[in-house]
Parts: sequence; C-alpha cells; structure tokens
Amino acid sequence: MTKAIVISVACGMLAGYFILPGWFIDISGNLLVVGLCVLLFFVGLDIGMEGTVVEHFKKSGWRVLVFPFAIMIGTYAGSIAAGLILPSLGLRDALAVGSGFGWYSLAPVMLAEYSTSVSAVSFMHNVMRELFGILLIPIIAKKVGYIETISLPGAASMDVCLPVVEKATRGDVAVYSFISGVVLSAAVPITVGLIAGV
Amino acid sequence: MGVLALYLAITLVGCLVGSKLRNSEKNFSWTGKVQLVAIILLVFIMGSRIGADKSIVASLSSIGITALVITIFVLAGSVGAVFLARKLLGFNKEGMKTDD
Repeated sequence: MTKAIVISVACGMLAGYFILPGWFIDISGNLLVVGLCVLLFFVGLDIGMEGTVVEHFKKSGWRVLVFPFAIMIGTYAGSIAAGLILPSLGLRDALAVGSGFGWYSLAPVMLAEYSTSVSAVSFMHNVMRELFGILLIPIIAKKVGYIETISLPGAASMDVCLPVVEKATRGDVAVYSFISGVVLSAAVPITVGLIAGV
Repeated sequence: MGVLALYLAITLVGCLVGSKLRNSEKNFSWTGKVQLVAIILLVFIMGSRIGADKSIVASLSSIGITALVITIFVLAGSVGAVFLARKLLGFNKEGMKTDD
C-alpha cells in the first residue's frame, strides 16, 4: 500500500514536470475536492459497517482516550520545536504538517491548495512517521514502554501498524493502539482543515 | 471552512449508510477497491502539482530534510507525551495498572 502510494506520487511528479498541461494543474484543485469527498464517504462507510468502534470504547473505559490526546499534544510540541529551528518553515506550516498524524494519503492532499511546498513536506513527513514507526515500535516497547509504541505511527496505529504493535507488546495494548488510531484519524480532517483554513 | 464542513458531513453520511448496511447479506468488498483507486488518483494529482512547480522540484532535497527534522521532533514529542500520560495514570512499563 505504502509502496503503491509512493510510486503514484512519483509518477504524478514526473507527469506534472514533463507532460501535463497547465490547464490540468489549474483544475486539479477541484479534482482533489471531488476525490476527497469520494474517499471520505467510503472511509465513513467502512467505519459504519465495522460497527465495533463504540464497543471497543466501552470495554476499555475513558482512560484509553487520554493517549490519543497526549499524542496530539506531543505531536504539536514537536512541530512547534521543529518550526522554531527550521527558518524555511513558519510555525503555522509546521503545525499543518504535524496535523497529518501520519495519514499520508489524506493530509498532504488536503494541504495541496494551502501550499504546494507544505503539501510536499507533509507527504514526506507522514510517510516517514509510518516507516520510522514500524522500525522503532519494537525498540520503544523494550526500552521505554508498551503504550508509548502506539504514539509512533499516529493514525496508522489502527491499521498498518496494528499487527506490529501487537507483536511487540500484548493483545490489550493493540486495543489501545486501535482506538488511538481511530481518534487521531477522525481528528486529521478537522485539525488540518482548521490550521490550513480549508 | 465550507469545504471542511462538506468533508465531515460526507464522512458522517458514509458512517450512517454503513451502519444501515451492516447486517445486509451483500458483499461489499469492492468498497476497498474504490478507496484504493481514489487514493491512487488523489496522490497522483497531488504529485503532479508538486512536479509542475519548478521551484519545489529544485528544492526537493531541502524539503526532505525539513520533513526528516519534523518527523524526529514529532516522534520524540509523541513518545514523551504518552510516557508522561502513562505515569500520571499509574500504568507500568508493560501497560498494566499498578496502583490498585
């Protein structure tokens, strides 16, 4: 999945650089809005058909919600620190990039009209967050703690990284991982949208 | 702001339709394929906007370094915040409750 996405971004970049006419780039903003609507409808459909999200919440109690919000606060603290030391990136841009919480197929697309360069940074950051997450989960589980592992991939802790978390920790930490991923994923369109003023 | 409201409304409509369809006998495995096609097209278009902007293509290496720096800080911040939250809630290193 990650591979397919990275390849199609690369193909898009080559097409944009060499082939595609200016009018295509001009209407691409509207195409993105239509495409995002289609994608988000089906994301919602999946959540609705799954129907287990609410039960998961009930089983684990309110404490489980503390962790995704801690991950948001930590992500923003990190984004602000990075924004302060990176002169090329304003604070708002850094927050917009961090707000993707690892959802590399949604956040950079939403940022495409806000700023193409921020969108490019967002794509790379969110892909890196997931890849480094997969690599670091076993190390963080051993050296720091089990629950900390779910913070690494962000939104991807509910799907791609769920089996990795489960393997490195325990079954009930995987439930935390799933719920954290659900909350962060739900937050992405809101946080990115608000910061970028979509 | 209007587009954000549209996105959230459409996701919610998807949720409602999905929960109505939950017990139906039909097979909905095609929805995953629709999502995949939508994602591929979206990131292709996003990539084309990046590729069409010559100044961004020229600065791709610095964009990569910027993303790397943000990623390192974000990962450190997230792990640190969850570490503090875990201590405050009284969970041990293996994620078990210890104070009861």
